[in-house]
Amino acid sequence: MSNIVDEKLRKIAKDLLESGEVSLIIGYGAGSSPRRTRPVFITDAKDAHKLSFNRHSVQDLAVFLKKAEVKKFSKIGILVKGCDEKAVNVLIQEYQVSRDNIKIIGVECNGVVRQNLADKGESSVSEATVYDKCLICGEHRPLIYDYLVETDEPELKLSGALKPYTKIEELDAMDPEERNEFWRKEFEKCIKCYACRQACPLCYCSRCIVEKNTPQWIDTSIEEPGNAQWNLIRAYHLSGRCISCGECERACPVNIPLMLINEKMARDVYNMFGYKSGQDTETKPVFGVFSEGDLNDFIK
Amino acid sequence: MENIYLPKLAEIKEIIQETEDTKTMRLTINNKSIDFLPGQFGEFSLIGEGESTFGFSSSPLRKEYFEISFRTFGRATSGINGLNEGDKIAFRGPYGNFFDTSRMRGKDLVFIGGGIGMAPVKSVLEYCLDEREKYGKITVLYGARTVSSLMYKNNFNEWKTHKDTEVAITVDPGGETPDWTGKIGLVPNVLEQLPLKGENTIAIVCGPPIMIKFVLKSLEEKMGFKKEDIITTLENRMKCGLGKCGRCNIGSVYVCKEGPVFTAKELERLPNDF
Amino acid sequence: MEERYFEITRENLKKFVDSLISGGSEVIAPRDRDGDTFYGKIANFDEANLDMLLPKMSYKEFLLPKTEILFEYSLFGTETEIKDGLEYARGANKKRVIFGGRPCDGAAGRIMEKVFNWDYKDEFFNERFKDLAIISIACEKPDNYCFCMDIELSPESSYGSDILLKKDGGKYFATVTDEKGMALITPCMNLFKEISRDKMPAPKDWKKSFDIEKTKEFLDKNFEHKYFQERFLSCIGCGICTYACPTCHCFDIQDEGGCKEGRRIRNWDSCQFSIFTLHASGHNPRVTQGDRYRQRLMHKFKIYSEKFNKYLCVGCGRCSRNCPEDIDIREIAKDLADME
Repeated sequence: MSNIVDEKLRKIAKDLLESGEVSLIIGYGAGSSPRRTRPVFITDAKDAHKLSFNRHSVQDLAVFLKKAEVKKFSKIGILVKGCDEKAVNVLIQEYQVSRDNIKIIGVECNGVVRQNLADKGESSVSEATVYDKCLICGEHRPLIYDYLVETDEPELKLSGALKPYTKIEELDAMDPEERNEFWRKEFEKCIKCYACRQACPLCYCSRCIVEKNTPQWIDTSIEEPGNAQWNLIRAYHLSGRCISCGECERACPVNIPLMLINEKMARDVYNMFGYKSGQDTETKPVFGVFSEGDLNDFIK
Repeated sequence: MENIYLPKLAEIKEIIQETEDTKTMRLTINNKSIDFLPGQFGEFSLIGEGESTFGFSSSPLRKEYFEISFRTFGRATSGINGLNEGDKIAFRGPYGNFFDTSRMRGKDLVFIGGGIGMAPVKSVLEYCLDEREKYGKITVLYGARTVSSLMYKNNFNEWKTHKDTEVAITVDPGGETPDWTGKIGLVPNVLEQLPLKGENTIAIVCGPPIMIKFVLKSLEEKMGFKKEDIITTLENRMKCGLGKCGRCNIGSVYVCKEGPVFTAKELERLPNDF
Repeated sequence: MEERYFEITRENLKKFVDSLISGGSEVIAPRDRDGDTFYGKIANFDEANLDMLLPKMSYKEFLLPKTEILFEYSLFGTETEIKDGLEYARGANKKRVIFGGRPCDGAAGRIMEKVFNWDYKDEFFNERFKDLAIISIACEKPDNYCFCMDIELSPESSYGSDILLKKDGGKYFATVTDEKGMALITPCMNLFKEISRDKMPAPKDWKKSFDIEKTKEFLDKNFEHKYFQERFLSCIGCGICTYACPTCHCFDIQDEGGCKEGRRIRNWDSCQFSIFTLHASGHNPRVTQGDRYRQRLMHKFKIYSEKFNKYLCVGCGRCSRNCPEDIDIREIAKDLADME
């Protein structure tokens, strides 16, 4: 991406820090390779030149808003793509951060390159190289922002030949045993590193259920059925909340297709309750309110 | 070739409810104590509920039983708390280094304990009391938040019966009851008022990290104790107790093997990681 | 045993590996799966991907299983029956061969062996380590995350491997370092041609990019340096670095089961988790992620080398490649060395 984008966001960061409106800017900077960026934390306007955004800026920086060391900076400016920004909305909606303390610097994005492909040398943005979430991205620009930096990347061309998350329909069509077998095999790979949890901007419980042992809700062993217990409980905790940033799946070191679960849950929540998470900051969370119109045939 | 993680089973001979949430258990194997040294610890469990690290709290010279004291807090201690006299408790150990009593011979001793941290102090205290003639004046200072959270109430009188032995028991201000006759004040404050000199005296300290910190400060800065004459024991989180599982280290020192007993001098050389 | 040297064509190497498999060995090799490469059981030589640099995760689980049964118990009234878990570890790797890993992975077991044997001997590890046969292939082109050459190893190091293969032209040159390696090739000796040491390809001159001793010296003196707190603001504490690491060996001990029967197990654990060192009292010696990443650096580059005269790191770079936030340990070790 061009220097114009970088220059714009550096200017915004510099102004915000100089005026004292924020004491910290969370953004992207140069990474360990030309095809990687990494989170950078800028507290001094002099360092604003370290900021940069490009098609390899895969991380959802909203994850840092849950971190105690970051929360100490009371006023924070954060760089977000459209997908990531929804996480900020949920954090505000769930009273984890205050809108007053956050300056949202939105960047328009036409897709980010899958990191494992980028690491093998890929640097072009195309429907074959971006994440599934980019193929169904409806936003490109954050829904809510204080500042917006527009992209000069060409629009992502979709031929329609590649359908994201197609496995969901395949799984829906399976009989329960087959489906069970599919997930048993996937969860067998799990090593319980809990990177999915740590990479998730919305997994912010101060003590995760796997860390509680009176009673021991989830088996500690790194095998079945404990692995499935963990992955399923996390899916439930994220249903109606997950904003599909895909960070859990990107982080997973053993390549469990976690987005199939999250996306399926999101679709179900939408079909049953007409609710999409992260769209704004005021709507009450779907599982935090009761409405008479809610489906209730599960209570019989 | 043996499995170092296999526990032995000990019989619970007697249970003393010390406070609402702490207990002392007197244990035997083949109806007698085991070989251990004061300051050492073991991994104890009700099998099925997980292990917990406790220091021994009795004198190794008392051969009829060995003691542990613990507070019920999580799953493992709840499991042990549910055991009755006559039941078996699993344990591995003894592990770690110990209070070197040969260094204490002929010297005045002050034993300082706070809360459940009194357990390992009691072990070395009673060891010294069991061979009372080998040591100089003995002072015991034990404190807890409230009167009801004082452990070892049954032992105070026994400690006092020994010659040239002072026993001071204190509770935090506000923790006293109307009939309380002991001292009132935080352990470091009460300590400073005791007639103690750093000369020819060794201090043995254990308690919550914050208490240890202030007691060390009082001993060194206000009372003239040399760092090498202050001995404490650390209670880092441990799992294996064998120097493998990798969580109890402070810098390059594995507390489970090179500790848990350290002098203030040794602690000073460690990074601030405890 | 004195090292012995052999030559083998690629064709014969295939025959050799296939004969190991048909002879009943479980051969674990780099295998493509889910768009990446992982170590996995292969059914024949062709399933192995020998062209890629390194599988995403290490094969540590064959030395230190993700979950290892320490013992099983059954309770009858007041009686406790215990079945020793060592039975499962004994012989578990008798017929297991790691094929096509890299010298860094090959070195890991021999490094970890030290902590599992100082004073108390961990027979679970020893049983598995003694039997696991390791045939490594020297690297021709390390990537930017590799730093074995900076950490007392090299892309051609045979340390810890029973056999080290080196590709040269169309064929492979094998260094057999021990009896375990000889036992593997002896049944197929016709595929190998023994050569003298001077016929082996000369080692390349691998350049160091920094002095790891200086990294250690920095860690010796700067425990409370602000670098740790600032640099690791970007660490999310996911622990992937430790799980992907071939030498990270920290574990948790847990009981699983009911009041009638169950087992005591040890599970992989990580110093990157906040509860790793949390005391029952609520006190935690390592509060920030900076404290925790510093511990990992300390353990790798200072503590282990002081205790066992080896760095607890083989320079494979997995922690860097797999870090979701692009924390690069080589860059950090170099930073620290440069600050010293």
